[in-house]
Amino acid sequence: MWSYVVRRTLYNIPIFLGIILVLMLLLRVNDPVYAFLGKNPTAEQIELKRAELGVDRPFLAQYAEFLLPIEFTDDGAKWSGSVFGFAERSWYREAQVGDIVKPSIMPSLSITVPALALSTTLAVCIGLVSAANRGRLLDRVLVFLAVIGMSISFLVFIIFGQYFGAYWLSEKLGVELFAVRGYEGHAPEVWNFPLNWPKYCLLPVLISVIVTLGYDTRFYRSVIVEQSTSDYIRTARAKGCSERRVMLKHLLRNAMIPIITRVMITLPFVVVGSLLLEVYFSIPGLGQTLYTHVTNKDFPVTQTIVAVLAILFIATNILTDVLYALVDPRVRLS
Amino acid sequence: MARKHATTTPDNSPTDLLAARAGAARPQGFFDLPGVRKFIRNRPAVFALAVITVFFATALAVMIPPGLIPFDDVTERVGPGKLPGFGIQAPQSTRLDHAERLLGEVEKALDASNPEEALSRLGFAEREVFSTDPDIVGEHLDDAYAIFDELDELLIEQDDAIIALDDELDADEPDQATIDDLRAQAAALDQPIADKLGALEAAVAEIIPVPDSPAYKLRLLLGTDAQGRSIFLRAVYAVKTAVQIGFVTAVLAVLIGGVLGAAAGYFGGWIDHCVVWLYSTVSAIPYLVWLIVIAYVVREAPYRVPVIDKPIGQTLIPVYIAFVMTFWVGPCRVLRGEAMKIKGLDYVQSATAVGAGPVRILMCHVLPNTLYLLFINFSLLFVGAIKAEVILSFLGLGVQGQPSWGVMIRDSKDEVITAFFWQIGAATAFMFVLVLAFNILSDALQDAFDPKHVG
Repeated sequence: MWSYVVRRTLYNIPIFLGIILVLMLLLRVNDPVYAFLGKNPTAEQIELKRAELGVDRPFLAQYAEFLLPIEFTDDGAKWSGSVFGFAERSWYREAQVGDIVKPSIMPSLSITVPALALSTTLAVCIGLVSAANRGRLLDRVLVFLAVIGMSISFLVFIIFGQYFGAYWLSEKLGVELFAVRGYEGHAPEVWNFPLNWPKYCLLPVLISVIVTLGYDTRFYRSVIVEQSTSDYIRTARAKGCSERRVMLKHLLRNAMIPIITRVMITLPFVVVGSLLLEVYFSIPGLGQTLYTHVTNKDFPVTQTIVAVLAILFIATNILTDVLYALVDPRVRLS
Repeated sequence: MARKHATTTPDNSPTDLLAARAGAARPQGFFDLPGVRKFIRNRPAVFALAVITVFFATALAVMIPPGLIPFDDVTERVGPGKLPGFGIQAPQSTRLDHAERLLGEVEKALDASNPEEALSRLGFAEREVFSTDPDIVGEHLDDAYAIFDELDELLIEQDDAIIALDDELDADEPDQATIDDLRAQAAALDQPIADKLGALEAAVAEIIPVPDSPAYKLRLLLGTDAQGRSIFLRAVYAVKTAVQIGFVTAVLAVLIGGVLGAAAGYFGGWIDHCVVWLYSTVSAIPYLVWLIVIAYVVREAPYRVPVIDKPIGQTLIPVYIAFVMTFWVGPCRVLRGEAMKIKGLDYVQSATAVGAGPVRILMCHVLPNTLYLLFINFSLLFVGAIKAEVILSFLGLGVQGQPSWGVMIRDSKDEVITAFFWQIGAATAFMFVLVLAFNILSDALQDAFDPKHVG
């Protein structure tokens, strides 16, 4: 298995290099220097700023510095001890990139992980119910509802969710159940987090679940329907298994591979998938940080966040394959 | 004759099969294809197709000069802000606010250095001041203000009663008789206030008459947004924006992705490696990140679009580029797999045997047989583009300077807090119909043409 993991990792290196290459090239289409200077800067000022930001050096040198723990100085290459720009200074805020990126991971996770777990569980359950009643009224209603949910914009769910969940509810009940915006998960102390979580995170989680439920339900339903036409299901029924046993034991187990694939594929995406929620509810997560720093021409932070996301994606990809082998004895890693 | 017979009876009896085989030598008509027949039998799908046609026709009508809706119509004020649609009356406080503001604007015009000119400029769209003579308007204005003052007194009286009622309710020992009395007092004033407000609005309407024309009624059909612009006209104009974005990005992404994917699957080798590397690179990062980065970079580029002579940031080009660069991956993946499968089929082999070159086989044999996949992907990408536009517009990286559903939903963010739902409702409803139609269409296309699809 380990040789497989190593091989897959090697195979993914060009993809990682490609992501960073494309991103760094894209960012450098426009000269970033002017955004940090006043009106009508002199040529000297421009040169100084360029040197200060480090964009005066050849592109390949910048690329190599980002990827490898080395640093190019006038005397040649030197060990710098940090990769992926974690130790660089942000261009937008007076801070190190690592100090901006690291604290934003926790708020993102506290929304996306519960949302993903909840929506997957719910969607698999609804998918099972729908597939068990395939073609009947209940199934049609559920599929129709899913399509309707897919046809409404994410943003509309967020706006109405915030209005009715946070604003209208507290107006009617007089109880402030959810915060309208903001995030103080760790206030006043870190261990208050579980107590603070519902107030700041539950509403975004619920909105996110409602939005993804339509897509997930349809996907899991079709997976289950596909499985339910296979021979082993007919055999199970023929030997007299109860419908419940067929569905929960035989079918669900075999549907595990597509379910795992989907969860694992969406895992790195949910981190930024909550970008809109974070921006709207002003939660200082990865998505909001990325958005703020892209639109303020902060290359170091943007590059580091994208690198983190890419590594996350590649890691989950490899993990998925390993999980396959654990779930399904027929899959061999070779 | 034999062929015609075969096409009119869908169930294949042996004689029909023979007849069909006899006709198979001739090219079959489009409507005879089994997939097309299955699609036409799907009622909701045909209905969805009709809805999409209506939307496309609207978009074309707006786009082709002189245009169904002139651009000025979607930016000009047609009435007071946040007016509800369908002629529903706004809440009392809003109505009072509107009347007060209109009177204020007339007063300001009368005080101007050239009142006649100021009065002639006053008004919303087709709604204008009845006379530009300052004396006559001044007389009417005084009358209106007299009514306004009377109304004000009534409101103050009611307010006093309500405050007294609140005090009494909060008192240590509330007296039921006093409470009932105050409640009755406040309630008794409701009708006079409503009457007075009606009279005030009538007085205002005398100075600035509400036109009876259907065109003006249409403008107010779905109310006005916070800036007093017609929500209906903006929502209809946004059909053009949405169709434009959806169509351009879906066509380009499907073409680029389709050709790359088919080439990768068919030729294999280093072309395949390059294409797979390219799409893995794009798809390893959440598409929203690419969208934000690309849209932002292109918007800020110091480049003027030649023909219309605008900076690139004020056109739809950044949106197109961002969408095409991210969305081509879907069709590319599907087409690559399909091309790999088709490559080994007999008819491609025989084409090679006859001496067809690889490009000819790709263009004439492989791509046409994956046409249904291109259509399904077009439909999926169209929906994806419309929905992504809303997200980009909310983040300020999307459509600039023209109405779109995304811009409308973004603008309505502040209106929702004041419980005004007309703008967000209109934009959502328009978008919902189009996206739902496309969702039904893609499902039906998959049902009819994709043998692997599970219904």
